[in-house]
Amino acid sequence: MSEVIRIKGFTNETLDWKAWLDVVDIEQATPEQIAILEESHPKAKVSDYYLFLAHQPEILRQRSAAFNAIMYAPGGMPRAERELSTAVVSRINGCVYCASVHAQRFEQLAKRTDAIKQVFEEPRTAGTTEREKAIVQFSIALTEQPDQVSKQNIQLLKDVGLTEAEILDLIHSVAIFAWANRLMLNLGEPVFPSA
Amino acid sequence: MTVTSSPPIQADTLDRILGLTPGSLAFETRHQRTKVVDATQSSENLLLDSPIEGLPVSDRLLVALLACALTPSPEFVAEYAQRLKNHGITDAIIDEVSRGTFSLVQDERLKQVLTFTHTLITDPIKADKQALLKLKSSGLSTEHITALAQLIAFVSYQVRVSAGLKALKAFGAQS
Repeated sequence: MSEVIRIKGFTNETLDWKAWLDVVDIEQATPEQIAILEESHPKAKVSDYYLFLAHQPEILRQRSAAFNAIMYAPGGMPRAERELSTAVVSRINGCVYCASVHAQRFEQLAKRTDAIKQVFEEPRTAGTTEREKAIVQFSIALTEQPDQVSKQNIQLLKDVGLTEAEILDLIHSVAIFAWANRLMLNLGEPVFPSA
Repeated sequence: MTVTSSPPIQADTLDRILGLTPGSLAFETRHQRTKVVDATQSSENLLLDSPIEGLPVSDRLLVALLACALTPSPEFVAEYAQRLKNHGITDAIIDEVSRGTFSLVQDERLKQVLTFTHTLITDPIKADKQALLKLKSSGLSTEHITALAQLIAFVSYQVRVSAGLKALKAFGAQS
């Protein structure tokens, strides 16, 4: 991480996250729970978030399958742009924890932080290129008013050069953060590094 | 010859309710991401069809219906309303929840769950620790709360995939 960004309550710092209810005790976990934690995320066995979701292991398995296929699959929309869209959704939904994680991923992939600073400052005008602006606008529209999204919204993405396969990846990225943000926001809270 | 009015049964809910058919732009684009298609349907099956001890399918469908009504997602309101009818839930309750309220629901625990759903769909940042503790004191276990939180969050995802694919279908139909 090249520089610490703190704008309007959002940050690219590494945060911790604490569950509000009891999490699965890893020492007492079943072999199935262990297997699903391991396939969900490299650090899942020491993460309150995954240890909480492990209360329903099969549901976690399918959530992780969807999440990992959407965020990491090769081809389609460049991964940096998927991260940008998820940072926008997290900013709109007010999920400080998710925004911090995906701000970092964007920087790792894009080697810059300019678009993320804009998203934290004012998502509605964010984007350093016409293509980024269109991705940001679509992310906001599908997050806030999914029933109003129409073929015109698709046309705006086509106009800046997105293929249908990229548009599908964008739809999935926005949608999976409607899911992820709601879990992070309602099951616990971010913990900030002590000053 | 008898003509049946019901469409052929398709395993994939999104393809069925959006009318996505092989050869169309939206269908062919969507099915390039097979793992996502499969995990989406498997999640729905687990959350809204499979048995979860202590959480009847009809209660979970009512949560899904309220979430879709508030989003809103007319396609999924119709879908989950129909499934609730098949579970014997009265039209009065289905109609009310389809409009985003639930005053006719008598069960205290279910009312708490629907209140929680309302918050999480309309203003997710307002969900707090007190809301979870209230659910616990209404008699739900942590396992129940995990399943419900996943259900509400999943429906938020499903209706947005649906809205995006619907727009892609409309776009494909014009070109």
